[in-house]
Amino acid sequence: MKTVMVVLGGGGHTKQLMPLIERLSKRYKIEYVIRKDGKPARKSIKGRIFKIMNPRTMQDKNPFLVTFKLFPYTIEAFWILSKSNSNAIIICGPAVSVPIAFLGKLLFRKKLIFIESWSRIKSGSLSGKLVAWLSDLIFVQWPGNKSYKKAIYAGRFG
Amino acid sequence: MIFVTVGTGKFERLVKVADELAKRVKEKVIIQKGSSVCDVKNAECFEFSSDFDKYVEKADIIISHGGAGTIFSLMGKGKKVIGVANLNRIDRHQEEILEELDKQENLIYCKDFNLLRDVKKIKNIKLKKYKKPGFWIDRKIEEFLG
Repeated sequence: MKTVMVVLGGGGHTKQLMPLIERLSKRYKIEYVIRKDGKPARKSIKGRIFKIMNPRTMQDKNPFLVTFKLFPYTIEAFWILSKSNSNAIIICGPAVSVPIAFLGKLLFRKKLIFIESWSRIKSGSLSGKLVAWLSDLIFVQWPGNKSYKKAIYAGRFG
Repeated sequence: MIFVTVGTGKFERLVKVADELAKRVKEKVIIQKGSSVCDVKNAECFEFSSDFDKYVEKADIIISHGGAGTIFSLMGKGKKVIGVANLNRIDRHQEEILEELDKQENLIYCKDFNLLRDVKKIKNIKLKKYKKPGFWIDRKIEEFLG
């Protein structure tokens, strides 16, 4: 059975992915990456869970400090990926998922699937713009969203 | 009853305007103010509640922030929704979704915080039921990953 890693960002990002995970878990083993500062994992989450710090809490005006502060986060992402058995990573936009997407694709050679948020009718998110060129598969949830060349519309979670 | 929800974030402007609205409508107004830092004088108010769904159920009209998860869930329950975009947030995508759903006549997007006008308006119009398109993203992923 193949393994798929899903990066949950908390809030709406998590909520919208749950029905998809439910279906995918029939065919794949699911690994979750959740935020340390998020709510405790829901009971509906079944499978291996990795916890990562929230990069948003590390924002700073000083660019040197940002780099310095992001360092432990990147180490953590690296550690998670080296322990993971996943063949593919699914991300749905939150900031926490971007470095995992980069490391996962470029260093760990995993397949990368990006799903643009259901709140994006026409525009693309910052995460999407950062990650699109690396993604093997991109979904938009509104048929009129032309933000990404390769994007597929395959329905909406909500 | 009119139920106002700002979600988990801060949305003082909506809380204040809803508090003013409470003075001017006959219905009871209940405000879920999240982490907003402001006093409410004319309405019943709480920060968070485990009874959130009960308030939603009892409400005739719901005034909500534009978070997509909340909006989809409220429309799914067949509620009359007035959406207000919270532009305090890092990006401005709440505007985008509310504009689209207003255009489809699934809800009313209150752009200028004139809640009184839109409460009157929503009582007199018939909104269209939001049709869930469903999704087949899982099938596409399975085709790709095998």
